[in-house]
Amino acid sequence: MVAVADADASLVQRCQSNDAAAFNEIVSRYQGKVYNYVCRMVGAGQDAEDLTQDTFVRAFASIRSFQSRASLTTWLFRIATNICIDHARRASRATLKAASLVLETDDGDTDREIPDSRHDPQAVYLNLELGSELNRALADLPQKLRSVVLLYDMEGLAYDEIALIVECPLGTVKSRLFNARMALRAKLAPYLTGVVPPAKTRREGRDG
Amino acid sequence: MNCSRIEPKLSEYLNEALSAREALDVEKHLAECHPCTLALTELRHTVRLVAAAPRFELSPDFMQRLQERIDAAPVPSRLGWVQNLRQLLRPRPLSLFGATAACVVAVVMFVPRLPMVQAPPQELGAAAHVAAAASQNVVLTASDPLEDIAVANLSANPAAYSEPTE
Repeated sequence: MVAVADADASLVQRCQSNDAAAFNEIVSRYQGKVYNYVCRMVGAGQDAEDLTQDTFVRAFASIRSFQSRASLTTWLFRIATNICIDHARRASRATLKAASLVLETDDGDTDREIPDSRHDPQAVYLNLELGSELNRALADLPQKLRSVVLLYDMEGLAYDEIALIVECPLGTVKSRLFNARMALRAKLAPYLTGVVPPAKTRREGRDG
Repeated sequence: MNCSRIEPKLSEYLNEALSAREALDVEKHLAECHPCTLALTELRHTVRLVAAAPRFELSPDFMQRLQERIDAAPVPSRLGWVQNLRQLLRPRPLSLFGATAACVVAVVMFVPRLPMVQAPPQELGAAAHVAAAASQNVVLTASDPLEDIAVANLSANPAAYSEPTE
């Protein structure tokens, strides 16, 4: 964690010195995480890619004002969160559709499917129905709850980082996380009995 | 502790974010409460599902398109703030309008006020309103009327004052 923070701080300093390669490195490191988060916040598709680009364009434009008081991760996710909130407002608070997964087959065609778990005995829970229900349950959460559960359980961020990202007190972060998890549990209850997903640590989740 | 007090703590218990004492209290309750134990188990499974949810993949040309957008944007200059400051401090010749405005302000500020000429009867009302407004303005702003430019402006041009309309 400390090594990552030091590496990020070095990249930021290089960016502030007009090192284009440093910013490309930042994008390479974070584009996947930011895109995944944005997809879960606004739905997958061209909008999500555009908003992810907006995040990095805004970061590039304001890199000089970044003073490293917070981590680069926190800063980028805060920009992304605000962009997603603005997008939702512009969409007139339309109901967010459940995010759909799109996989490319070997011949380049796209197919709407959850990854096939038959060849992975550790991922037996990743069947089509459960995957769809998970996507729908996440998408049905109010945005304030969804952002916190995504940042904590999916991206592995800490309470204090999330508090800075969503701009609310620590107690509110904990409360929203609890409420989000309980809501997800209620929606996924029929699928939780007898299902034992692999125990993935938060560190694995953060680096994945 | 009863279930209503334990349940809100289950999320933090999962996160190992409770104090040692609070965690012990939760564990003591769980040892005797099946519903809360089931709730914890289901919460744990839910968290694992979310953590292991498949991640979305970017299109292959994402980086290229981003680079095109950034290349089209103004490049932040290393010395940008220095250049901006120099631009602000660069001496500029006064425009004719600016010089005229400066002179007007100087005259209004420093030329002693002329004694008021008795206004024609139809202008007495306006003068009275100006005086009232000036008085109120002085009360609200400067202690010395001559320090209050707004008062000076009202007195210099009473015709500009008009009754507020409902």
